[in-house]
Amino acid sequence: MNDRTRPASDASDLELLRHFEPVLRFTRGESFFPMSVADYLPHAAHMRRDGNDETLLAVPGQLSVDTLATDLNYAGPGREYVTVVAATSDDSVDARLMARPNQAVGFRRGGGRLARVGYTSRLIDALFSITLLARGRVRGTLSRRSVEMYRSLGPDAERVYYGRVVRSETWIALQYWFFYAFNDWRSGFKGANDHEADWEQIFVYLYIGDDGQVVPRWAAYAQHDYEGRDLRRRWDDRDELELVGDHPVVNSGAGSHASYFRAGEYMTQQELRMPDALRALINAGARLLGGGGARERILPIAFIDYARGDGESIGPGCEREWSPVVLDESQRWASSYRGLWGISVQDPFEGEDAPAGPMFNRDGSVRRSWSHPIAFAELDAVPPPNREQALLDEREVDLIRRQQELADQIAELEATVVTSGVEQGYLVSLAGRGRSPGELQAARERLAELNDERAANVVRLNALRQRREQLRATGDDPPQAHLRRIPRPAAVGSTTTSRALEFWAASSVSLLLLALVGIMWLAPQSAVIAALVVIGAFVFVESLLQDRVADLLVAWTRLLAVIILVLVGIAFWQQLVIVVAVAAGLFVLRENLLELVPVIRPPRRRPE
Amino acid sequence: LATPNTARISAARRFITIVVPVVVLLIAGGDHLVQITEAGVAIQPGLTAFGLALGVGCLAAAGALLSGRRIGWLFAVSIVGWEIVAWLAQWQAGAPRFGGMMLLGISALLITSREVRALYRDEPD
Repeated sequence: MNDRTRPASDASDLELLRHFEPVLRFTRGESFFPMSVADYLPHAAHMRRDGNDETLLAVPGQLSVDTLATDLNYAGPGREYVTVVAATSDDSVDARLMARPNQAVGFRRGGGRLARVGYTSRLIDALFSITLLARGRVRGTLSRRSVEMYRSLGPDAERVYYGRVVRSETWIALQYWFFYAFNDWRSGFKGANDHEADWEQIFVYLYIGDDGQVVPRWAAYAQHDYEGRDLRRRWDDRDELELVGDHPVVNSGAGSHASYFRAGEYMTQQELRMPDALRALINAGARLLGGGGARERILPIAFIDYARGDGESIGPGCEREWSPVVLDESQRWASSYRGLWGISVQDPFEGEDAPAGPMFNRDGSVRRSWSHPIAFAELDAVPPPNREQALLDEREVDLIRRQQELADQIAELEATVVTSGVEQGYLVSLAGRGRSPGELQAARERLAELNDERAANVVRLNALRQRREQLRATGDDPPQAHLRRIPRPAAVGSTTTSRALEFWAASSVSLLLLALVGIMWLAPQSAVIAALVVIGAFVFVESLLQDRVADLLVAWTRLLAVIILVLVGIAFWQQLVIVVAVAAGLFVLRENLLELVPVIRPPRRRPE
Repeated sequence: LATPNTARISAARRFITIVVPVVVLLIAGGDHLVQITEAGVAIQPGLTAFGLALGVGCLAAAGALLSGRRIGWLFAVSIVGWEIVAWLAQWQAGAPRFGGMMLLGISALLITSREVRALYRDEPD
C-alpha cells in the first residue's frame, strides 16, 4: 500500500483504524489472544468486595456488555470485579486441569534468566519466590481455568481490537486496545506475575498532509519500564519499527502480552518492594560509599519476556485477520464500569491483581492514555513535520516584534533611570537625603528584567534560526533523535547461557545454602573459615562458567593486598604517621618555594 | 618551566609496575627455597610441599610476567594471591615479616592495576 491509497483526513474512524491496524506477532506457545469482551462477559461472574465481604452481583450468563455498569442493582460500596476463574471453581475440574503441563505447547524456553544475572539477583529471586507464598497471588489452577474458558470459544474465536480515534489540532491518535482473558507470564513462561484479564494498548499518530490525506508519523507501544517519548518510534525508523504496508508490527510478550517493536527475548526487571524508610536507609548507605544518588531499583529481579514473534500472527495478510470494534465513551461497559476485569487477590505489589478497563486505572481514576493520548507519548509539544517550518517563521516574527518593543522600553527606562540618578545625587548633595529611592530602585529592577528578556530572546532567535537551517539542510531529524533509552533484546546463545551455566544458576543458591547448613551442623567450631572456603569455591565456579576468572582473581588479590597492607600499617602506625607528615611537609615546602622562583629569578626577556 | 615528558614518565612507570613485582617474586621464590633447604625435614611434609610449590611458582610467575602473555600475567596474579595467603598465615602464627608483607602488598596492587591489565590485554568487566 502506498501514499496514494491513504485515507483522507475526514475518513471515518473505522476507515482510519483499519488502514493502520497493527500486525500482532505472538511467541509460539501463547495461550491467549486478543478477544471480544462480549465473548468474555457471559462466562464471568460479577462480584463486589467490600473489606472481607464478597457479594455476588451476577452469575455467569447474566452479564453482557449491555448490562455491565448499567444495572442499578450493582450499585453499592466496595470494589467491583468481573471474574471467569472464580466463577468456574470446581475441585474435580481443577485436579484434572492441574494434571496437564502448564507451559504452553510449542514454547521453547530460552537461556535461563538466572544464568544471565549474578548471585545477588538469584538470592533476591529466591526471596521474591518466598514472598509469593506470603502475599496474595493468583493460583496455578486459575490460568488453566482461563485456558479452558478461552479454548471453549473454539479455534475460530474472533481476534478483536478495540479502536479509538482522538483528533486534536496537531495530531490524530489511533488507539488500539487488546483484551486478553488472562496474563499467564509467571505460570506459563517463568515470568513475574499472573493475573486475570489483561488490557494492552498501542498508538499510531497521524497528521494531515498538504494534500489532505493523513500521513502516519509515529507508532507508540505502552511499555512498563518506559514513558513519554521513549514509547514512540518514527514511521521511517526501519531499525526499530517494522511495517507491513501501513501496518506496524507488534511483537507480543509470551504470557505478559507486553508490546515490543523488535522480536527477541527481553530482560526486564521487577523490584522487590520494601518500606520507604528501608529504601531511604539503603540509598543513604550507597551515597556514603560513593554509590551515587538514589537508585530506582534497589533489589531488582530479572525476568525474561519472550517476544519472539514466531507464533500466531494477526493482522492484514496474516493467518488471522482482525475483527475491529470502534470504541468511544458512549459504550458504557468501557466508560462507566470502573471495576476490575478479573479477580483481585489483594496483592500489595499489585502485580497479581487484574487491571481495570481501557478508560480507568485500578484506583478508578481515568487513565492518562485515555484522557490525553497525544501527551501520553509526549507529542503534545511536537508539531507535525509539515507545520514546523511555518511555526518557526511565526515564532521568529513574534520574537522580532517583541525585541523591537523591548528596545523601545529599555531606551525609555534607561533615560528615566539616568535622570532619576542625577536628581537623586543633586538632592543628596543639597539636602542630605534623596527623594523616594524606592522609585529609582524599582526602575532599575525593571530595566534589568527587560535586558534579561532581550538577551534570552536573542538566544531563542538564534536557536530557532539554527533549527530552521537544520531542517532546510537535512529535511528531518534522525529517526531516533528523540529517544533516551531503547530496549534491546538480550543476546541469545552466548557463552553465558550455556547448559552448564544454566544448570549451575538454577542449583547453586540452593546448594550453597545446603552446604552452609551442613557446615554449621558438622563443624560448628570452624564454621566461619569453612563457610568462607565454600563461598569462595562457589564464586570461583561461577566465575569460571561466566568466563570472568580474571576479574575474580584480580578482585581477590587486591582484597588480600589491602588486608596485608593494613596489617603493616597497624604494626608501624607511628612510623607511618611520621613518613606521611614528612612527605606532606616536603610537598608544601616545595610548592611554596616554587612560588618564590619568579621573584628570586625573574624570567629573562627575550631579545626583540 | 619545562613540559614534563609524559611518554618517558609513562615508560618509567610501566617499567616499575612490572619490574618491582618481578623482583619481589624472585626474592620470595628464592626465600621459600632457602627456607626449605635450611629447615630440611624439620617442618611438616605438607608445608614443605606447599612452600616448595610456592617457591617454584614464584620463580615461574616472575618469568611468566616477563613473557608478556595474558596467561602468564593471570598465573602471576594467582601466585601473588597465594603468596599473600602464606604470609598472612605466618603473621597469624606470630612470625610476621612486615617488610616482605609491604613489598608483596604493593606488588599485588601494581600487577592488578588497570594499566598493567591493559598491558596484558585484559579487559576489566
